[in-house]
Amino acid sequence: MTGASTGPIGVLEPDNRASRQQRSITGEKRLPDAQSAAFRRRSWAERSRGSRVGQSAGERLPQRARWAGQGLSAPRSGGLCEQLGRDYFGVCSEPVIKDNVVVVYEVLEEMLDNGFPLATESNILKELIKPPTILRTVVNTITGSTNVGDQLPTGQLSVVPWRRTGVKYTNNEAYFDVIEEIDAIIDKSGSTITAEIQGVIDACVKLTGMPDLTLSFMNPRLLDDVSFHPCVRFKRWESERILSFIPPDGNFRLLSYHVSAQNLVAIPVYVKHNISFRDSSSLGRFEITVGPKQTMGKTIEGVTVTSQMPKGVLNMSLTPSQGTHTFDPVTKMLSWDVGKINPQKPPNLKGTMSLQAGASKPDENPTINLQFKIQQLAISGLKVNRLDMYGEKYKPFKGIKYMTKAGKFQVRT
Amino acid sequence: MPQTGWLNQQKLIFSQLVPGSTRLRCWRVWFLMRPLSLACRWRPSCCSYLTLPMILFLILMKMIYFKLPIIKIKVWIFFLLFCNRNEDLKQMLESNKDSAKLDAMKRIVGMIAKGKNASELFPAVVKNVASKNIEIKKLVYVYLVRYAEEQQDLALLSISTFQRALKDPNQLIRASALRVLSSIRVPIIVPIMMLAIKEASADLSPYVRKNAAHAIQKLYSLDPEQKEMLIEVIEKLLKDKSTLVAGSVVMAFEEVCPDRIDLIHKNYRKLCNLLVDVEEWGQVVIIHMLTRYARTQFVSPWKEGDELEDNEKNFYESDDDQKEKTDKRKKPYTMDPDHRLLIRNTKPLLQSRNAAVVMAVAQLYWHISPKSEAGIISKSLVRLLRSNREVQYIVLQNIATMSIQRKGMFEPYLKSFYVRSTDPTMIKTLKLEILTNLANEANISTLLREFQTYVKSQDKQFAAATIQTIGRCATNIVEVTDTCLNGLVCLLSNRDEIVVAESVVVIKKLLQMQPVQHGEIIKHMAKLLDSITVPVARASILWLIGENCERVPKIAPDVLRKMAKSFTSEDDLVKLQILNLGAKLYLTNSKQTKLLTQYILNLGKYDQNYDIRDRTRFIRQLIVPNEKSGALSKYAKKIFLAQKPAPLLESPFKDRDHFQLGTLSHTLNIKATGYLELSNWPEVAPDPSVRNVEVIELAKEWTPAGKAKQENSAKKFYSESEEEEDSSDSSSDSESESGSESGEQGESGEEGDSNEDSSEDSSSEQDSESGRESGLENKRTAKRNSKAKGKSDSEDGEKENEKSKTSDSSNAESSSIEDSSSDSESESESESESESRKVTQEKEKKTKQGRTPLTKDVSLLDLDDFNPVSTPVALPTPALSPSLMADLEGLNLSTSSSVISVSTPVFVPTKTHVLLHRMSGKGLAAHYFFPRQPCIFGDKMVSIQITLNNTTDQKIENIHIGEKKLPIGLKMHVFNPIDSLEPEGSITVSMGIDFCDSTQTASFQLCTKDDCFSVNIQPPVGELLLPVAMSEKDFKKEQACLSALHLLSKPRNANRNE
Repeated sequence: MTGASTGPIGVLEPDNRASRQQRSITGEKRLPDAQSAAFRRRSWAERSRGSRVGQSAGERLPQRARWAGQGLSAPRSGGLCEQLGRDYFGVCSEPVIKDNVVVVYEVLEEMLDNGFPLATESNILKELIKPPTILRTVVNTITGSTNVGDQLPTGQLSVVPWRRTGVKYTNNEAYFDVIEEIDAIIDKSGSTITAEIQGVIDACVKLTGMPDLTLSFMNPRLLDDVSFHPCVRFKRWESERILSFIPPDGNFRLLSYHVSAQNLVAIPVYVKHNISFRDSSSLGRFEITVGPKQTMGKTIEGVTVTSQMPKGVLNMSLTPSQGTHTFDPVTKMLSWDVGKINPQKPPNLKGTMSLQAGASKPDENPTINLQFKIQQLAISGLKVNRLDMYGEKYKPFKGIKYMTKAGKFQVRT
Repeated sequence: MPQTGWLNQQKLIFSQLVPGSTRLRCWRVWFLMRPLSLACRWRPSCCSYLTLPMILFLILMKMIYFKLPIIKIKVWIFFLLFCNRNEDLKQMLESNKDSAKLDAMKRIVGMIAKGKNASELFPAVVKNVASKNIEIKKLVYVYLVRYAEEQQDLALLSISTFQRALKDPNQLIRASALRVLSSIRVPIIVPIMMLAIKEASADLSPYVRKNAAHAIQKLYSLDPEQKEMLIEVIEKLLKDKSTLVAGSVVMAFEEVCPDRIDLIHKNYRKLCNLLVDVEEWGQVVIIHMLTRYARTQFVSPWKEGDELEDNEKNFYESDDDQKEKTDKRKKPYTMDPDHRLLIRNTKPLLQSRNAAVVMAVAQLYWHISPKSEAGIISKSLVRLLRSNREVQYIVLQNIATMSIQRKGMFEPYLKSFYVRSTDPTMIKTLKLEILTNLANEANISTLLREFQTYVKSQDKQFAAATIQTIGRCATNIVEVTDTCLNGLVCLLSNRDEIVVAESVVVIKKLLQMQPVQHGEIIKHMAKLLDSITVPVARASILWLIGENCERVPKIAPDVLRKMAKSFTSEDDLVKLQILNLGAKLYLTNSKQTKLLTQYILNLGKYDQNYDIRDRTRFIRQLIVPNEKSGALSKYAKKIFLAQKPAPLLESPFKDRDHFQLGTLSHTLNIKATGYLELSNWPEVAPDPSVRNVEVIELAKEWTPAGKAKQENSAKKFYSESEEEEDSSDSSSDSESESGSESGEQGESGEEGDSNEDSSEDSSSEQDSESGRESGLENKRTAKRNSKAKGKSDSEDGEKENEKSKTSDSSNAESSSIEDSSSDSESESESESESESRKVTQEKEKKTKQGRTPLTKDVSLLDLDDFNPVSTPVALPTPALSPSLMADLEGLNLSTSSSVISVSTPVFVPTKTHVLLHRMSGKGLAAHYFFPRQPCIFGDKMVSIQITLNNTTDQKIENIHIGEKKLPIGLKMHVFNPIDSLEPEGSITVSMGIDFCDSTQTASFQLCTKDDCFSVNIQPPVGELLLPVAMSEKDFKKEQACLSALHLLSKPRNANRNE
């Protein structure tokens, strides 16, 4: 499943992230709401089910299943085409594309003209070519209508090309997820070599009409470097440090940011390790302990430890105090799905490695990659102050959720 | 039954295949075919693949019943499957139901996607292009774009539908029709496409106009001959102020005419201001274009010292006015407000979510902003390192190039480039490269500690790269050289051979750089020879011992002894080094090693590799004293043990900086096709007032954008140009006139509207005598005609131009252009016109003594008299006509006149050719271009204008044409010798060559007082033609004489030169 990240992490990162959203996450933080409007707790899983029909939770992308050579200029970390694929079919994989080859053709036809991008905004594309759903397929067979819109999306020509007009919802809701990732390299001795925090604010906005939202932070100075969705008014940010925008309809990434390097990054976990190869015998010792460090009282969950063992390791016989572990003797990949960390009893994986007989001991120690997440915590301390809406009369449900995850978290041994 | 005909045919085919008596055969076949016919009747209603296996199964059973051989059965199944399928699709396409058609189209698109050939369905598919159902229509479009090139004739069937769709009230349909029409690569429909593009470019919907801009590129790639007309459309679209159009039209501009930077002037400020609102991909294109623009139009904001001083040829030099080459350089630098505008307006885009936009802005800052401001891009670039690895790769490459030149920019982000074990190798090596570039005294200790971890990496290739890096750091930073050396020596005991070998190579380089006593290390390495097997490493050790053989007098002979033993089994590389070592030892320590060396030389003499045999022979002759060896052997020791220069460890990204960042060429480090060189900063800024947007024009064509015209800059321009005119044009006889004239030119240039093509024609009478580059000049003077009277009655002039433009753009008949231009001319009663005429007349008198011939005066005056006589074909503007057929018919209006009049060219290219490069001409540079004017030296001659530049700091005297080497028949009229050319001065002369209607090269010598340079001119075919206007009838008549030309489908108003 999602937790077991075995492949090259850098590449699969976005997919993991997306799939993790699918998991049911509880406990959203109540927004200090100025208008004291009603707001609702609802899990992401519920929301996603509404928006993405037929998406099987936590499916992982094969790396090659990207749509087209998006290489040079993928706007978002997932690759534009891949993202669109997910928008349209829930998942973007080879069989899905094979099944929907006609829709893919139609969409690509709208996206590119003579190799030059024509329309890449998914909202506009969805108006031109409607995503295939079971319901629509049934309706189409009965009425003979098609998935292809016959009018130019009004957004194309307006000042807000990212939003379609005439949006209507019965439940008006706006959810924001502040997700932070810690990229870190930890030394052999446990000291931090480099650590930085990268964050994103993903939004799911389902509001009727043309709402104009403003989002303000308690401590906007934390944000060192930001990149916005085109909807954000840059001038307002420059002058007041307020995010003011007319949101696109549905899911989108509002903001990605980098927390300035001056702030010391609190590393929430520690890893104790004792990996040793002996020259004489064909056995090596292996022991890892993972424990919480600075967690601000939150529990660390979804912990996964992966490590690429040296080629000389033939097999490993290990016993975990908690969770399950696997070792692939072909790829030499050890992965240990720990789960939740209990601060009283830090989980531990201990055992022996059998080494190739006769071969000298490998002179390098494996690197340990760590995955974890902490709910209801933005490790940088970023806090959303308030969210206001202008331009429409109704009162929307608002919700904000914080989460901290491990990005490229490596422990050198 | 619709199937019967087909079935009979099939039966016929099968009857030839099935053995047995005729009767039996017929029966069998009929029996066999029954399920098939059933299926055919059945399928359109079912439309599913499910039935197919069933039918096949039935057939198979029957075949087995008839005991046909298995192979045959296979063939049959395949055959049936194949025929059945397409036949079936055809029927579905012909059915009345949209759903069936849609299903068929989906299956066909599926076939295309799988790479199957669906071209035989073309006729059936094309019929559906007119379908009401938009999805079917779209799929047919997909099909058409794919197969139209193969089936050109059939594709024409669909054209009328597109033409109808182009008039559709729905903008989406108009746009997609244009898109598909322009994607169909059928050369016959080029005129239709051209017309459609022109219409669409004036469409009310910006979306359609955007698609028109896309279509321009496609048409250009299909038929580059349309370039001129397309440029007109681009020019029109560039004025569009919709953000939707801006990106696309700039893209078209970059594709079609990237060198026509003059089209940008007027739109520059608008583009800068719109930039933030343009969609992402458009932003990328516009930013790249504006970068190039800025490099040609503004002076360098970089301080003198750190400017890169390679004087490559500035490819816009022809467009730049060089008139302001006065002493402007000495003034303190102030940034042009337009330059500032660009830098300011692109800054917010660094915050874009699109990596391509951020990269584009980064390269813009790198290339055109002051160095102090470029720092802000580093933060954004580092942010991009978070995205997927393809993006990382590109960004890191660019950072690597930047970090070589300006270390400080990325130093604060040093830790962001630390390598993770999960990075792919390509990313790792790039990061390593950047870390090396950023290394300095302050951070080297941290870096070295980091490198130590990398050396232990499981990725051996990366470990080897790290060792190289350590070597580079050691040479760059003197403080740590010893530390690094020690560290590398430690690595010599590493288990991995690749690591050891790499260390040896790097140590060798380091030791070579430090001719200090390193005996210990050498001894250690000598021991390694027993264990290490990598040839490069072994060779390195041997070389090192040889070099330092006097420092290790005991070890060296022993090493040679060991090597002599294993000589035959060594690699060639090692063998060569053994020979070297032997030679060196022979020279220093011949007592101990004489025999060994002799032995090795004998072995080498009979080696299989001739390189080694050669080397052996060479060394033997050199070191072994005998009677034949000459004086050289005395110096053998000096030759072998000379001080060798230390190798320079350099970054592999060192030579990439001449490519524009963020381009494919930069990534590949090869000049890619379509790469546009970034020119160097001009030394003196070209006239900034060209970017002023005319207020009147704004009011007429757009809503006013509130860009005020800069009065003072115009004034400045005026006075400067006048001044310059006086100084440079030393031999000009009529100084006062030329002065006032240039003033006029300046003014018209500065307020000139874009309507150049129509006014350009009757022009450029003065450029020959004003000592400047002729391109821009040409236009200036041209505009004077239309513009000078614009002073008195600007409204009128404007309208006139407008009118002439529309008629001109609608059909390329030059007669109409001539008409309009002559109209405008005859209308012009203003004093400027008469004055100019007076001036030219005066000059004509002076031609005899003057150095420059006045080609164009003649033509201008001629035209004035001539035009009323010619009755050109005035045509209704077909831009409004409903279909192309009507247009083509419209062209057939016959006129009674049979005058063939020489018309002036619609467009004079500003492109100049290099006649003599300043490097080969010892400072004298010569460029020529074809002004496309009738030559005054003879009517068979082609007139050529040569611009001579003196780039030296001394006077060049007596420039004349020396010996001519012309092919038989060619004639040449030379220009009068030029007495002297001032330093930094330039002069334009004109000459005529009769090329005898061939493209033979005219070679001659361009001589100065001291030197002769042979140069040659080869005309492009197009320059040999003389534009004439003639009526349709005359053309037909002439055409009949030239039977080979009958293929030309439309009238061409060009005739041969005679």
